[in-house]
Amino acid sequence: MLRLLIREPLIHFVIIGGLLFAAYSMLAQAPGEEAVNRIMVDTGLIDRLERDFVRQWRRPPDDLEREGLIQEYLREEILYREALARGLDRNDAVVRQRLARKMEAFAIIDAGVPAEPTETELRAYFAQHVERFATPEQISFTHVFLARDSRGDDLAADARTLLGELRAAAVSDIDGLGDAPPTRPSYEGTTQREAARQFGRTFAERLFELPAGSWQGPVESGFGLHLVLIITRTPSRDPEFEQVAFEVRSDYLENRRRELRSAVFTEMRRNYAIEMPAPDQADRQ
Amino acid sequence: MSQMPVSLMVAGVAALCCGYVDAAETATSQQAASSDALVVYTEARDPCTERSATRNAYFGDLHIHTGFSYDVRPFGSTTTPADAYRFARGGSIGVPPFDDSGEPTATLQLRTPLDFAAVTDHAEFFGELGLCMDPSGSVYDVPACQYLRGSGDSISPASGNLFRVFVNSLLTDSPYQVEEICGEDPAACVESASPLWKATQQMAEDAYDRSSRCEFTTFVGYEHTGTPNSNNYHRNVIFRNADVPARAISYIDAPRGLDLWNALTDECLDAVDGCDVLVIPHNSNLSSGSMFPSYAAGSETAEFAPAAARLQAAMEPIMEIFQHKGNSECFNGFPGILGAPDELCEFEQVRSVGERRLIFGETYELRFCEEGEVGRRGFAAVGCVSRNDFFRSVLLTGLQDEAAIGVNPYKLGAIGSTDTHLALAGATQESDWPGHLVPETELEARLRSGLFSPQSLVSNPGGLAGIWAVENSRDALFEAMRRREVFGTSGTRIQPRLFAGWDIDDKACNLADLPEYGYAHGVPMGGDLPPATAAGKPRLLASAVRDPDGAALQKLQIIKGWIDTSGQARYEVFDVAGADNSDGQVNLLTGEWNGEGSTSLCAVFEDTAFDPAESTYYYLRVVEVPTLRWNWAQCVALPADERPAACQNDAPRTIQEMAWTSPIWYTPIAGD
Repeated sequence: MLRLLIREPLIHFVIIGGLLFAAYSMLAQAPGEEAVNRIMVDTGLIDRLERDFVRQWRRPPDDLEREGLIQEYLREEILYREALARGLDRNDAVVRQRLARKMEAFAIIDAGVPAEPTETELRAYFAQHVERFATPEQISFTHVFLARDSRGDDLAADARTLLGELRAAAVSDIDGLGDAPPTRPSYEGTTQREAARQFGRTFAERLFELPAGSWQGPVESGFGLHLVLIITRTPSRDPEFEQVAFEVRSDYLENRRRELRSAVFTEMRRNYAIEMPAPDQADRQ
Repeated sequence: MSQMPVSLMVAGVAALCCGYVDAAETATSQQAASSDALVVYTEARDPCTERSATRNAYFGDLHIHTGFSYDVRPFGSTTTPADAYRFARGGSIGVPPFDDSGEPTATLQLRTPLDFAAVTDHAEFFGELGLCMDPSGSVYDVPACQYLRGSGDSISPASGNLFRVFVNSLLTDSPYQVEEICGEDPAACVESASPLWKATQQMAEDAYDRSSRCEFTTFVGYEHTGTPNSNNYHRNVIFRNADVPARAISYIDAPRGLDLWNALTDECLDAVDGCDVLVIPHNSNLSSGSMFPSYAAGSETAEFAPAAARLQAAMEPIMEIFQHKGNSECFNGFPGILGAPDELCEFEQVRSVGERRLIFGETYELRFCEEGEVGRRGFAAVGCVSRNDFFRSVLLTGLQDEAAIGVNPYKLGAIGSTDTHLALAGATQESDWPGHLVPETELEARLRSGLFSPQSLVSNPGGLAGIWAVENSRDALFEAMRRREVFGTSGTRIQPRLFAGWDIDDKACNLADLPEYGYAHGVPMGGDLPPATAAGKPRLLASAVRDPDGAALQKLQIIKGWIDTSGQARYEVFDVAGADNSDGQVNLLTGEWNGEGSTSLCAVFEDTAFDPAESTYYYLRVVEVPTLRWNWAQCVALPADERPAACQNDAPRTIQEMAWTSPIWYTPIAGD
């Protein structure tokens, strides 16, 4: 049993760790010296150093290497503490940023999670920010399409002629005019977003700039040219709360989260007196 | 640990986050669902104002990665699903390369917002990320955590080793959690995965438009990332609504497809009220025969094969056939399949038979797999290519399996998506594609040939998922996916329609109400032809409208696949509308095409060679006129003296964008 234990590397490890620990403790407590700075080399630390080594070299360190790892660690730890003592962390952008990010992560925990709003709270929020939930402008329109495929070079001239006829004759039945459109011939209550889905972005932008009540165009799309009659235009308007209840809730929560977080920072900032030199002094610096 | 706020997960991007609130519960208490003849709602929402019984085409991306993925965050990218959804809705977000302070140096915005999206981060290391992002936790400072958070120098040789700590787990068929982070008991990482999974749900909830405007739909999802023997075995899991399992069942939790489907049955379908799910495999082109094995020839015992096949068919109704890492539609030359070579199968292929690659000092030559063989290193673009790796041919395997075991495991519809690792949902435009992974965001890096996984020069901006649905809500889109009324594109917004029936009129294309006619006289893509009428031939109504912001259409093709009466697998490609217009040319400076092209195309095709005794499928492929490929489009946009030397490369300078519909099947009545 004992022989087995003696062969077991983990036991070596614990014993060596223990010895080292004892040695360092004794050094730190040597009589006549003032022990101000203590560095703890415990089994947990040695364990971690060894694991890092194994990952890099794919085998455990031998005794000499283990001692080397510890010395290297001590060197880094001492330099780190000396650097802190001299304030070298203060002007290093990378160190500042990493610590600030770490702190930010803690601050987010401190901020917590917003409580689920009541309907009264949501209605109040809605009333206060109603413009954010406005229903977009909608138009109803009909169009006469001229296909680029079949008309080729005549496309623009054909469109001009047809537009003149439409305007002069006030045609009531447009069925059969122009070519069969790849989209629907007329649309009701369409938003600019929906028009862009059907006709492309450029067409949709032009469409929403056109006046209502008379034939306009030609407006170009990826398909060809379109002569457009806007029948009604419903301007952007405020919705009823019920229509947008879900959206109000998600906006409210997002807003609350932002508030909670900024409150944590404001609280921290309260502990600081911010001093700013007058502008003329700043210039001289 | 389970109490850790979700907000912690985005500590690095302090500006964005969320507290976790159970969205589904709240929604239910706010408003009752109202179903009708067109949509059955499984959730509380306002019904859409804009809806259509003959369906609208909605475009989206069902394969998106953000900083919640283990292969994104180490490269300094701290995006979240909220960023991906904001981008998908038309907002602009930052794009690497990063400057010295870690801020992105570019921004990008979609020309046309998407209609729907699902963020599908790799679920495998959610637990490790959860622990590594907790600054009060005990492993916050271990090297693997620093690496995972992107705090280290991610391209140094040492971090190459750290990357392998994660990847090696997924390359085996017995994957494991990372011990350095999770400790010896992997249960710690099961618990710590919860905040990321909840944040994934919450951010999908926050971006989902439940108002009657129905502008944008999100799905809760994740990627199950198996890579056994270095073969691609990756699948995206998409949930119907906010009722989802308590954990994202990863490759580590369920290492085989069968394990995943069983776990989803146990933990979603049978356990959570309202939970419904489907699984979308992708990049079968890199799977060396492992993704879709034949059940008739396979290792499942004859007794269990039909049940397993039925489960797979129920869980996986569609596959992703186009994305950054290449095209999985078809591949020329498979032994055992008859059909003339199809030139358009070469489009965005990432590997070719006979090609040699040097990996770790050994040369590998890519070859065809033997019948039933599963090769190795598909992800490194070596190994072997199996007929079951491609849509067109695995559909044939499905028909043959059905004849042998009575179930068709591969009755698959088709979509495209991106697989972006930059949270750039649906950013498929050739001219501004910034690459697949963070290290490719410098043009010069992108123009090089990838060493391992297909990336850089052979990869492409990815595709879009198209769904024909009644309205833009979760239930309407999910139902359409389940019935496979979906299509994929190589990135543009072509709208393809396909109907098949026995009495479709020759003049159907002239009808103003073509979709109404199609639904009345046939079945749409994804469906089954009703039983054959005496001496009748299937008639297909195929049509397509071009992308109004893209290029014109060149032609429509019907692809027919069937098993003939001698058991031989066959396919044939028919040009049914448009022309090859080979007289045209692309101006390599402007990208303009000077030949013919069409705004829309339509044809009624009768399969005169149809034999009612043969299992058959048909799908539609729509082809655009040639345009510039990303590698050239991005170089030519720079003044000649500012172009990197790598602009001279052997990649094609032009491509033809495409759309592919799901098939329509014909099955003979047994005994015919």
